[in-house]
Amino acid sequence: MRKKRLIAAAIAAVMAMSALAGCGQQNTTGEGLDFSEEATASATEAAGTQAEGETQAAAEDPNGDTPTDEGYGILREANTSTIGSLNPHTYINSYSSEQIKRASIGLYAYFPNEDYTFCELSGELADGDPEQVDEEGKVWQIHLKDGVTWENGDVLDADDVIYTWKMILDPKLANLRASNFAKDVIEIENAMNYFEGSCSWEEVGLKRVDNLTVEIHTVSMQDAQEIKTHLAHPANVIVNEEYYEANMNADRTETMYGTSADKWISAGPFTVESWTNDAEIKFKKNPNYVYKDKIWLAGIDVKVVEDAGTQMQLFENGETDYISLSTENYVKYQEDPRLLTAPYNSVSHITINTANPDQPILANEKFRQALFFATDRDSIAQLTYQQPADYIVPTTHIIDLDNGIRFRDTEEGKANEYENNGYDPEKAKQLFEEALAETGIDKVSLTMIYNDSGVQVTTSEFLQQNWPKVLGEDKFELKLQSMPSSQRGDQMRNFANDPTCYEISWGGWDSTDLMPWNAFKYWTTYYSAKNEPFYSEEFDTVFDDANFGADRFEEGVRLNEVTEMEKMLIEPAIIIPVTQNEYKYLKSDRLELTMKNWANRVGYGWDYAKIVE
Amino acid sequence: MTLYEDKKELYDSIPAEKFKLVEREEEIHDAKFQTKPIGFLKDVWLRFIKNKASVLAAAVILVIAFFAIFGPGMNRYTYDEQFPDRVNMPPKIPAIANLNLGVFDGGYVLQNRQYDSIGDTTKYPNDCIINVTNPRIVNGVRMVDVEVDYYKYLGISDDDCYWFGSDYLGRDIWTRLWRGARMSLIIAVVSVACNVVIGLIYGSVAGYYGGTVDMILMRITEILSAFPRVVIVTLFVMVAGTGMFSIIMALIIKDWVPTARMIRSQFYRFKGSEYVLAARTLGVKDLALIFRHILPNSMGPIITSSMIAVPTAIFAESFLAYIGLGLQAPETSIGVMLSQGQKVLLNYPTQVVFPAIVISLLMISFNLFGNGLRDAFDPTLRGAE
Repeated sequence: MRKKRLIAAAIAAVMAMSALAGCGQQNTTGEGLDFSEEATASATEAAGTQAEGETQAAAEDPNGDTPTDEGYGILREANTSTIGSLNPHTYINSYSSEQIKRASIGLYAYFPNEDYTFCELSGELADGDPEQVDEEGKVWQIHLKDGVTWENGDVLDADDVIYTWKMILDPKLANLRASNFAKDVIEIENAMNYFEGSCSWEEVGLKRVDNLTVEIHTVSMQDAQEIKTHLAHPANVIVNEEYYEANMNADRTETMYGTSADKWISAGPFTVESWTNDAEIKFKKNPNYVYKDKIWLAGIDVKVVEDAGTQMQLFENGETDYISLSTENYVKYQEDPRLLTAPYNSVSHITINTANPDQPILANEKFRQALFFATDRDSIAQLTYQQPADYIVPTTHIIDLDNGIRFRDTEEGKANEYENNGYDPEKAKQLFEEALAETGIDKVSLTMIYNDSGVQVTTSEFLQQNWPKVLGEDKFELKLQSMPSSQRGDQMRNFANDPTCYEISWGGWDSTDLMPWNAFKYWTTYYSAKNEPFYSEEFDTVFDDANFGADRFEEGVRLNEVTEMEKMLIEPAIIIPVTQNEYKYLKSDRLELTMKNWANRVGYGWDYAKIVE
Repeated sequence: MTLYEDKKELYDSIPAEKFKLVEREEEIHDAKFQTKPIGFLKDVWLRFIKNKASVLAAAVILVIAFFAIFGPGMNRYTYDEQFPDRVNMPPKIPAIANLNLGVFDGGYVLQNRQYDSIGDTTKYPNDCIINVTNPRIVNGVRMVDVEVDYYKYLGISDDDCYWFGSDYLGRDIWTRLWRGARMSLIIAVVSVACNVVIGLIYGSVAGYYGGTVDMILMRITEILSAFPRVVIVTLFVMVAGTGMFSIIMALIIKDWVPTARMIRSQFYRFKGSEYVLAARTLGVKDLALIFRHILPNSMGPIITSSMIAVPTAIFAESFLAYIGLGLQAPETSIGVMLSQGQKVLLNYPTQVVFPAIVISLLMISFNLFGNGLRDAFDPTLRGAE
């Protein structure tokens, strides 16, 4: 008995040692390794990659020369987000909007350009650019393509467009996206009044001219590009009257349109083949789509996989075709030739509740500037694999579309940035002392609310230690309070009702990267979901001038105004920009991108890719 | 008929001189006990040490408690000191690394590296490469996995070793682990102690007075225990905010109920005994009866149940931390570490392994220790071995 036990113990010990130590001979120089096809095949079987052997390259492209009506191959995606609703008037997250775009048609949309190097804003349902009717540039007619149909073959014409517009603005439905449609890039005459119930539909500047023509009346002078940009927003895609009405409740305050596959009809690039909420949505190529010759894929399967580790396993097992890498997984794949990076379209920043009566020091400009200069963005970027950012307009934003000039590349844009990415401990300390003297406060103790997951944890915990180091541990203290992101957002935006709802927190706005002047709307007085109590008439004037001013098309005007607005937020440290994130993708060889590079608005153009297996 | 009468001839044949009278000269006594008399606690101790598993468990608890007190001071790091250039370091203990066992040697596999850059000393300095494996071609590029001594790879000297590795902010896991164990133990012990005090008073009153008082008090406990524990605890922490005090409070809210019930039943068992009746007849006051005469009978079950409650409290704290309601950063606990480690389980398994081992040991040890105490305190098992 005792002997048996000893043997068992010995075996267990040996197994444990071999598991810990690994086995085999060690190769410290890498010499003599076998990179032959067989070795690669056996090695990649475990790693989930396909070897790109000569045989594969020589094989015929199964897609043919032009896309067929059915398309070829299914693109398989996994995403952490779920789609609550495909209803374009009520969706909440940007992920839903991507899915809505897949299965909808809009008047205008962003497509890859001819040589697949940049995006192109052109008519999807609309036939050509909007046509200016009056001399002032306030009345525009949009002609629709003839013969466009829904997936069931029903004709899609001006009546559908007018119905869509009427429903977005419907006062009873009170849609989340209504105000955005009424006034964003353009302001539609009386649209907001109709939504608020103070005028009739006939007075709204949206008219049906004939079967294939609609007309828009704007408040200010606009140009065609602005009309197109406004209408290309995913919230403004066309909805189907029959389905929208069929799913409406009795008192017309809510519609179930787009909440399941049978309550949805598409006229876009793909149709919804099946949809299990919170689990999987399957798209199928729409043979009736106007630009069906741009779509190579037969369909797209999107799985909801909440855990990043599981997503990685799916990719490694060859069950998904590309993956957006988490920070931890990026470390693992940073030298992989399949890695693709793309800049985030927003800058992550610290928002400050300057009107908090419990923390009067937050209203002190020098104190906020002290925090700005005390933020070690390089270290944060190193910890989180992001880019340091002491600016507000992200690197993606293009100020001059004709010449493709990015705002951050201009002299004016660069002048808004500081040395050392805005990290200057001495200056911070000095400003902090001055702020203390001005306010008569001895010690500052701030509480930061932050998301309980993701990079905000790392960044917040870093600042908790770094800020006191710079400003003086005896005089400054940062407390942290974590909460789920949705709860944090609600709590922050409640500052109008409860000024003490938060002290400092995090923000990051995504906006149209082809219109940096429009991206400042989040800090205007009239923006409805503001993060911080910043109200400045001066700022509003510059914003209105850049967006609606008569001289805005003149050369250099918008550039100056964007520079000015950025300065107005950064210099008094209304917000403290910290980092700009980067998307990191890993793509399998099964998927061949038609896009030659990442481009604004269309990204890597996953929907336009080919399956080459 | 007597025995003598039955065999008269045989007995008569024995000569008289063979008989000796003894009683008249020596006094007869009961034999003296060879052993010393032992008290109740001594008896408990004797029976406890016979249970090897419990003794081992007690030793493990003592060791963990020792490290929880002194562990954080054993190296040069503090629990909240960050090193942005040394994040997610693998564990390395130089003395063990020198034995070449393949553990605690700072080894880490850099996956998916380009083969062509292996000779690049700016990338792989100081002979840091231990092994190159898994050769393959990806998109025409030769790729390998490179196992390196991560400390040499980053140019960190052996004096700066992280014994258990470092976390996502370059904080020392050894220091944080023991600091976390300390926090978990404090939370557990304080909350259990409070539960015992509340339960003891509540249960004594209910059990001693009985009748209407008992009925009302017990209905209150029933209402309390009707709510799911997890829900109450979670809601409490969400309302009161996260922090050590509110977590302890959350673990007290309804966890005193089982102790109160147990004490009450003990009182029902003893309050009718003759010795209590005698004391009462002699005019002993209620309080003295409760605390001097009846309660000591329940000490065994109280100690036992509180020992078993400790791991439950540790587990509850870990659960709260795991769902994001734990201690606020930078403070740590085993639960907080598990929650953070789990997120990087596939890439840096050591970050979850060490806290997992400690919490497992604590749970098992407290349970075994509690079981051992229960057996030792149980008078019915006296002399059963």
